Formats: sequence, structure tokens, C-alpha cells
Amino acid sequence: MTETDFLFYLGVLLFSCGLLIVFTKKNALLVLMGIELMLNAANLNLVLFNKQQAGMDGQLFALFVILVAVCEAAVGIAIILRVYHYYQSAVPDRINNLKEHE
Amino acid sequence: MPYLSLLIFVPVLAALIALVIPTRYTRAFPWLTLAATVLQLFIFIAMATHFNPADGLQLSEKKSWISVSLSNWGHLQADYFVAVDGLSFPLVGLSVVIMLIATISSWSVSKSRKGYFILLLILNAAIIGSFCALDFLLFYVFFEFMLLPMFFLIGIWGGPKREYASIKFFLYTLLGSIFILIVMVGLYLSVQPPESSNQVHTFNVLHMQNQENFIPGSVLDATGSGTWRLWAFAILFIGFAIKLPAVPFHTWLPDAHVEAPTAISVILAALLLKIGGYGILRFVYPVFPDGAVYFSDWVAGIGVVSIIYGALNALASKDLKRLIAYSSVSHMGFVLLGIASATTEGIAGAVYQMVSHGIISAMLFLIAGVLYDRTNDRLIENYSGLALPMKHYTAFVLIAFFASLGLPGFSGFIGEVLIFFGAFQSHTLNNLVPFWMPLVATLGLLLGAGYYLWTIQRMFFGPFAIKTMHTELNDLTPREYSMLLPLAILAFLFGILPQLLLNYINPFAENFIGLWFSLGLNANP
Amino acid sequence: MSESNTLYLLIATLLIPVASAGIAFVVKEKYGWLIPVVSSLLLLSAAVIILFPLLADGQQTETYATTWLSIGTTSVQVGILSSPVTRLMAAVVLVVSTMVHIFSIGYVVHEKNTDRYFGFLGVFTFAMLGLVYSSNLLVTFCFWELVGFCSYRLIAHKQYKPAASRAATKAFLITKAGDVAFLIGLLLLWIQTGTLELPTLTTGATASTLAGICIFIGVVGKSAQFPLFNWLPDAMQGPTPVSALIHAATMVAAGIFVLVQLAPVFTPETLWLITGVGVTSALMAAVGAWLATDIKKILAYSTISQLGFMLMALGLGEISGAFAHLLHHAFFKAGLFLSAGAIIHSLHQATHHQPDFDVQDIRNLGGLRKQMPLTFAGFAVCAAALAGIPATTGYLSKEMILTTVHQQNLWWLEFAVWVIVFATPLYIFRLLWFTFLKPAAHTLHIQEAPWVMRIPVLVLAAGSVTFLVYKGQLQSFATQMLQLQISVPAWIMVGSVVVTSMALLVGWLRRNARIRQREFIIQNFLDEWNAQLILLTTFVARLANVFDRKWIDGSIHALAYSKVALAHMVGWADKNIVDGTVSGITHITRGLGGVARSVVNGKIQSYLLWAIAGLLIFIIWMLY
Repeated sequence: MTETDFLFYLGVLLFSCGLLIVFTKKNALLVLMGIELMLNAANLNLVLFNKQQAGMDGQLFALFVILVAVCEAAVGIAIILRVYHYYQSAVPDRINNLKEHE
Repeated sequence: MPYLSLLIFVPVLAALIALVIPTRYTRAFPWLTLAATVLQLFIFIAMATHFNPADGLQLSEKKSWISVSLSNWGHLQADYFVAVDGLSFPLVGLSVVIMLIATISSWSVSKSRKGYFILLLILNAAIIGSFCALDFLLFYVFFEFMLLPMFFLIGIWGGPKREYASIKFFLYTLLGSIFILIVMVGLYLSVQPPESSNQVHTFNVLHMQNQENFIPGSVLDATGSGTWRLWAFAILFIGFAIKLPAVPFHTWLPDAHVEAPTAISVILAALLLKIGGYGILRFVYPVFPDGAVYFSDWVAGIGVVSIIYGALNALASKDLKRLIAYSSVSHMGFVLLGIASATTEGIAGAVYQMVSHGIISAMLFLIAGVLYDRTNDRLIENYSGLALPMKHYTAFVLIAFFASLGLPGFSGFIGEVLIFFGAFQSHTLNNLVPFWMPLVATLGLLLGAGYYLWTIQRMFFGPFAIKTMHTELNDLTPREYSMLLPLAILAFLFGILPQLLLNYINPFAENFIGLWFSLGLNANP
Repeated sequence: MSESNTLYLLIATLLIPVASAGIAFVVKEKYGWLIPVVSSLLLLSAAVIILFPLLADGQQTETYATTWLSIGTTSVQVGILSSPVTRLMAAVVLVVSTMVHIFSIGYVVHEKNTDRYFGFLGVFTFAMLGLVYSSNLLVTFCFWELVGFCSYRLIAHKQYKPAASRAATKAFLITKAGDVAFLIGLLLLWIQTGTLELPTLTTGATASTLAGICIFIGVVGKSAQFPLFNWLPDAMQGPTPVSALIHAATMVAAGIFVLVQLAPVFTPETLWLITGVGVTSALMAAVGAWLATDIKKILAYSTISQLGFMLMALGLGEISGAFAHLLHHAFFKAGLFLSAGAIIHSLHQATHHQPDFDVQDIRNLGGLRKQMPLTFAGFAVCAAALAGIPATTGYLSKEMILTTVHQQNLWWLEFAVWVIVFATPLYIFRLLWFTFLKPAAHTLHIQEAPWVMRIPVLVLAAGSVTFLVYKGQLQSFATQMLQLQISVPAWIMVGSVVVTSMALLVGWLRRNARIRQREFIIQNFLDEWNAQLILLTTFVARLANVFDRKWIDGSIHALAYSKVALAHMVGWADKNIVDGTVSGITHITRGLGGVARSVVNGKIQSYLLWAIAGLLIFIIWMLY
């Protein structure tokens, strides 16, 4: 396994952790963190792929991703705050108005 | 002049009129029924002047009734075919007389008169129709039509256990009807009238009596192995034997009789039981003579068992009506014995016994009714010395009892002597009835004397005592006289002048046996 | 006398008793006193009428018949057979019946129900005459049963007395048993010979032994022979005139009469049976008469004994002797019974019907010779005829029978007959002594019976005496009419006189012996046997009833209940299985729905999870 391969696996690991955090965490903020982690894993992938080609496209795209991630995080926190204000709880499971009632 | 149809439909018309009359006119219904039955009597007398016994089946009316084409499955053909001959004519006469007397007896009914008399009229029509119908389907319709009025008549106007008795009666005889239906359908599919094309069958029993009309290869054809025919005989015979009633198919009778009101008991004993005998003579024996020969000792055996068993049970009965009911079983056993012998005298005796028993059992049940009307109690042991307050009643009781046990001078004796003569003769003539059977059957005569005399001794002779609540024990009222006297006269008349009735029965009996001779069945097998 | 005249006269004798009965039944109670007189006059006229054909027609035989019923090739004629035998028998029946009617005027004068009494006496006389005249055996049988019915009604004349009604039932049932056998024999005869006309039967071949025995069993019942005789002593419950007519002279004689007419038909085996039964009954009943203490029972046993004597003679072929004895017996036995009736009547008057004084017990009687002289005379003459003292009719017929017995050369038979000849005067003297001759045991003042009751006794007594001398021999009316030749060996004549005298002597010597009421074991045995038979029959009847209810009806009930049980089972199956399947499907569907619904649980994270999972699966599927 080369160095690059190791970093790919790291990216996969990060993404998986992020996915896991999204699925299982009981706090919405932590879910956001998981999303951030997934984004960063994607960033890592971009940079690595950029290393194997000429040009700066990958790294440029990664900057875009970071920018978007920041915006999305801000908006997400704002939404979570409004939701918390409405539902009195930040646990995603409690926000189940879309549930099919028996 | 369609006498028979008039006879059958006059009561139907009266029933329709009764339906229209409002329920509150309770006095109208008995009079209407009486008018209808008296009219029937006149029609019968008019019919009798046109009836010549030597002509066989006559006064026939035949119209196509159901004629339905079933495309691929052929053609359903049933006719409205009624006629009388020496067998049915005396029975129709008996029906007319008994229904008139039953109407007079029904005068004391107070509950729901409208329903009662309408049902009585329907029963009237159905009984006469059964005796006249010669199309099997038509007969079956009339036969079934008898069951439902009886069910209601017993079940509503009867004694304490009436629901049980009426359901038992209905289901038991319905079972018999099912048996008849099975064989009827089988016969229909196997018989074809001589002048028709293929696929057209017939319910006409006259065609069924002629073996040439059977379609070769059909279920009930005689040229086959014949076992189906024997089965058919047995099943059809059982269907009518339930009505007769023959032991062991008789247990509906005591309960039905005991619980039924007096007039209904009279009709049941005098008429309905005869339809069983009539059915055997009209539908079973002529259509399946091979079965009759094969089963002859069984039929005679059932007859003898009925005689003795019925008499024994009568001896053990504590209830007067139950005693008379079992004695009816015993007397109808004689009819079976006569039929089984397949001799002219035996057949004539069987028909004679049927008519005679109709008259005498009507008397017997009326007598039981006279007592029951006054005391509501039929237990023999509760009475003693009734001869003292009720002299005329006792005279009729003695007449009825002695006529029933076969005292010469009354019609019962003639019937029994003829049956015994035929049964004894059958041993040497056609070997159908074993010799010992009529010998054992004579024991029934002795037992009959036993239970009747014992009842007279307990109930009528001796010091006067009654162990039950009762109204005034008046002697017979004029209404009761008017019912009992004609029956007594008839029983006496047919006892001393038997030829009056035999003139009608003889041609039938001779024709019947002639049919058997032509089939070569009278020779020793 | 022309044939049609005879026919009309004979029919008249048949119809007059019917008219008498009809009048008796119809007349209102207000005029009830008329009935005995009118009936007696009518019967008297009939008795007179019968004398014309009897005397005029001599030995002619003629049959007048018409078809009664016919079926196929079988036909039965009803008709009148006018022969010396039937005319003579009819005359005897009518004379005895007339005497009984006249006697009854006095006997039932204070009673109610004379309409029934005279009515049934009339019907009985008609039926008996019908039996006598009948030319066809089936018609004979009809009248045979009819006399049995009249006997039933007359024995139970006092309907409220339980003993009388029991005796009547017993009589009818026992004779009915015999009648059933008679019917079987008759039918067998009919089938074997093809006819029941008496003239034809008697000229044909003999019938089978079975038929003969069956007919004989009927005779045994009707004529009260062993083993069917135990009804006759009980039948004495009836009024005494009834006993005189029916149970002494006529009905019980009917059996013998029928045998007389049918005699050529019987096989030798049957005839030996007849003889045996006759001898046995005669001996047994003589013992019974000797043991009994009731007047009427003694006479009843005497009747049985004499009938047995007649049967024995018939069996040996002595038909004319038996028939002559039958006729003679009718007169003297009726006379004896009527005198007994007179005694009973007078004693009832004297004791004012005290219930504790049994007027019929001979131990209570005595000394009536002085108090009832004419009755005594009548009784004595009839008793003499019974005992067979010379110059009585009984003696004549007895001698004829003794002669025939001697000709058989059977020592045991001859011995038995001489015992009977000894026993008869013995018991009748005993009765005579205790009733009339013995010094009175009581102190009652008894009046002689009224003339209306004395005359019949005297008439019958007169008829019991031989009064004719013809061809150098004593003849009775019967033997004269039948033109019988009587040739009796001298030693028998002497011997019977000796034996009779010995019997009278023994009776005289033992006259003061105390009599107790002793059991007649044979009667008790027969009664007991009958009772056991009845118990057995009622037991079987009850068994049949239980069987009917439990088993036959029970199987119907089982069938019905099993149908209902089946219906319940099918209902259960329908509810639980068929419907259950439907419910089960419902549940499964609901479960599946629940499962499917659980996906949409409102949790965002699980939505995400499913989405990603779906995407992954899609990608993998695309790649592979």
C-alpha cells in the first residue's frame, strides 16, 4: 500500500465515521458535525485526486467545498436553533411530526 | 264433469275465501269448512253414480302441467293426471266422510280459528289429491302438502309436548319423502312413454308399471343386473313404510297422536296412515314386482312384527290415546301382511282393512277425545266405572273396541279374515309368505282382545271413581252422537254386507294379481 | 211342508229374538216393566214356530244359501241349513231360551238395566240360532264369536261388581284363545278343501290333522274342557238365568254341536285326542263338583264333566249318542240352574240381601224340600236325569254312550267311564241333600218361588223325562226326532242301575259328613298358570315399551342429536377454521402493514439511513 492509498482509506474511514455520526447521534448539532466530517472527507478525496493530475482543479474545488460547508453549517445551526426553540429539544427523534400515525 | 278436480279444489277455494274473511268473524270458519266438506260429500255421491268398478281406472283428467324444454338435457314433462279405480275410490270416499266428521269434531277449537280451518282445508285437498294423483310428481306435491299443515296443526293446537311431537312427525315423514323423491327421480330418468321421442321422460306411474317402457340401459331398467331395482324397491318401500307406519319406523306415531288435538288425531289415523298403504299398492308393488318377490318375506316379516310389537306396546300403555295409537300400528301390520302375500284375497283384504281401520280408528280417537274434553286426562288408571255415569258413551266404546279387535259383525273381521286367508294360502300358492308368519300373527288377535278388554275392565266396569279434576261427566252431546253414530253404522254395515265394499275392491285386486301372473311371478320360484 | 214355508219359518225364528232385543234396547226406562213380558212372549212365539218345521219336515235336509262375500275364485255363502240335527237343536235352544226369559220376569223384577239384560239375551238367542242354522263354517265362526261377546256382556251384567267384570274378561280371553285356534283350523280347512260349506265338507275327504286339532282347540275353549275350563266356574258371577241359558245349555254346547256337524272331517288321530280330552275333563270336573260348596259352581263343574262325556262319545264315533245327550243335557241342566236360581232368589228375599249370608253356599242351606216343594220336585227330576236314573232322558243317552265305549274294548276307557257314571250321581245327590233334604241349618222363613219362576223349572223337568214308547223302546223327544235305534246290552242297563244305586247309597251314608271348603287344585293350577301367562305377557309388553322408547325412539333421538352435534361441529369449524382463516389473513395483512408503516416513523435519521442504504444497493447493483 502506497502513501496515497493509505490516505484514500483514511478518507473512506472519515466518511464512514461521519455517516455513522449522522445516523446515530441524538443531538442535532452533533449531526451537523458529522456532516462536516463527511464534507472534509470528501475534501481529502478531492486533494488526493488532484495530486495525481496536473493542475489545481482539485484543490480549488476543495476550497469551494469548505466555503459551502461553512455557509451550510451556519444555516444549519440557525435552523437547529429555530427548531430547538419550537420543539424544546434538539434530539432529532423527537421531531417526528411526519410519522405515520397508527 | 271433472269430479276429482272439483273434489280436490273445493277445499282450496274455501281456504281462499277463508283467507279473505277477517279474523274476528270466528264463527264463520267452521261453518265455511262444514259447507265445503258437505259439498265434497255431494260431489262424491254424484261421482259414485258414474263409477263402475269393473272399468278399472276411470274419471280421469289429464292435462299437461309442467312442460319445460331443457335443451341438451331433454324435456321435463309432468302432467296433472288424476283418476280413481277400485283401490282409490273407497279411500277417497273414506277421506270425504272422515274430513266431514273431523270438521264437526273441530267445532270445539277456540284458539286462532281462522288459521286452524284454513290449514284443515289445505290438508283436505292434499289428502284427496294424494289418493287420486297418478303422476308421480303430482302425487309427490300433494304428499308434501300434507306435511306442513299437519306440522302446524299439531304444533300449535296440540297438547303439552306438541312442539316435540310435530317436529318429530315432520322430520321423520320428510325423511320418507326424500326416499320417495330419490326413487321418483330415478324412475323418471328411466322411463319413457311409448309414443314419444328420445329424451322425453315421464312421471306417469301407469307407464312406470309397464316394464316395456323402461329405457334399456337406464338405471332402473329391468334388463340390467337388477340390483339397482332392488335397492330402489327397498328405498321406496321404506319411504312409504314410515308413513304406514311399520316397525321400526313407527316411533313418530305415538307422540304425534298423543299430542295432536282430537280432530287431527282422527285425520292422522284414518287417512294419513292409509296413504302409506296406498302408496305401496300403487307405486311400489306394481312398478317393482321383482323387488316385491325378492323381499316378500321381509315385508311379511315387518308386517308380523308390527302386529305383535304394536299389540304388546298397546298392552303396556298407560295413556288411552297411546294405546289406540299402538293398536293402529298393529292393525296396519295386517295390511302389510296382506300385501306381502300377493294373493287376490290378501290384497283385497289389505284394502278392506285399510278402509275398515279408517272408520274404526276414527271412532276410537273420537272416543278418547270425548273423555279428554271433559277431564283433560287420558291416564287409564285414573278412571274406573265410567259405565255408570256415561251409559251411551260406554256403548260406543264397546262397539269401537270390539270392532277394532275383530269381532264378527264389524268390518275389521272381514279385513282380517281375508288377509289371513291370503297369507295362509300364499304358502302353497306362490311361496312368498312363510307358513309360520300368519300363524304368529294370529297371536296379535289374542293380544288385541287382551288390551282392549283390560282397558274396558279398568276404565268402564267396576265401581265409579275418578282420580282427577273434572267437569261434569255428561253423557254424549248431540254433536258427539252425530260423529260416532255414522261411523258405527258404517263399521257395522261393512261387517254384515261386505260385498258392498268388495264390489269395488275385487276388480282392482284381480287386475293387480293378473299383472303378476303375466309376469310369471305367481309360480313357485 | 214346502221348502219356502220352512225357510220363512226358520228366518222368522231368527228375526224374532232380534226384534225382542231391539225392543229391549229402545224402550224408554219409564216402560221398562214391559220389556220382560214382551220379550218372553216373543220368544215363546218363536219356540212355537220352530215346532212346525221340526215336526213336519222329518228327516229332510235342505240348504238355502246366498253369496255373502266373494273375491276372485273364493266365495262364502251365508245360508240356512235345515236338517233334522239343526232343527232339533234350534228347537231346544228356543225352548230353553223361552224358559229363561219367562224365569227372568221374576228374577230381574226389581233391578235396573233390564234393557241390557233382555237385549243381550235376545241377541244371544239370535246368534246361537245363527250358529245352529249356518251352512258355512266361516259364518258359524262369526256367530261363535258373537255368542262369546253376548256371554261377556251378560256375565258382567252387574257392571259395577269388579268380580263380575273380571270373570267376564277371563271368559272372553280364554275362549278367544280357543277362537284363534279355531280360525287357524278353519282357514287351513278352507285352503285344503277349497270350501267351507258344511254339506260339501262333510262329504269330502278328511282334513289334515293339524286343521282338525286347531278346530278342536276352539271347541275346548268354548265348551270349557281341560285345559281351558277355568273360566266357567268364574262365569257363575253372572245372573243365574244367564248361566242356565249360556253356560249350561247352549253356548258351551255349541262346540259339541259344531263337532257333531263336522265329525266326518276329522282324522283318527284328532278323534283320539278328542276322546282323551273328553275323558280327562269329565273326570277332573267330577272331582271339582264333588269338592265345591257353591251351588252354581257345583253345577258348572257338572256341566264341564257332562260335556267331556259327550266329547268322549264323539271321539269314539258315537255321534248320535253324543248329540242326544247334548239335547237332554240342555234340558236338565237348565232346569237345575233355574231351580238354583229360584233358591237364590227366595233366599235373597228371606235374608233381605244380607251380605254376610252367602245364599249360594250349600252349607248354609237345607230343609228346602218342605219350604219350596215344587222347586224341589223340579230339581229332583232334573237331578235324576243327570244321574242317569232309568225313565229319564239322561239315562237313555248315557246307555247309548256306555254301549259304544264297551265296543271299543279298552279297559282303561271303560274303567274311566264307569267311574264317571259313579261320580255323577254322587255329587248331584250331595247337592240335593245339602240343599233340600238335610234338616235346615238356618232359621229363615223361605217362601216358594213365584209361579213365573216355578213353571219354567217344571217344564224343563218334564222335558227330562222319557215319555214315548216306540217300537217297544223308551224314547225321548230327541231320540224320536232323530229316529235313533237304541240297542243296549242288558248287562249294561243293569250295571248302570247298580252303579247309580251304589253311588246314591254312598252319598246317603256319607250325608252327615262335615264338608269343608277344599281347594280344587286343578282349577287353582289352571288359574295360576293363566295368571303367570298374563304376567309374562304384561312383562314382555312393558319390555317392548321400554325397548320402543329407549332403543327405537332412542336411536331416532340419537340420530337427531347427532345431526345437531354435527351441525354444531360444522358451525364451530365454520367459525374458527373458515372464518379463522379469514381473520388470520386479516391479521397478517395488518402485521405486514404495521411493518411497512414502521418505516415512516418520523425520525429524520432513519429516513437518511434508508436513503443511503438504498443508494448503496443501487450503486453496487449498477457496478455488478
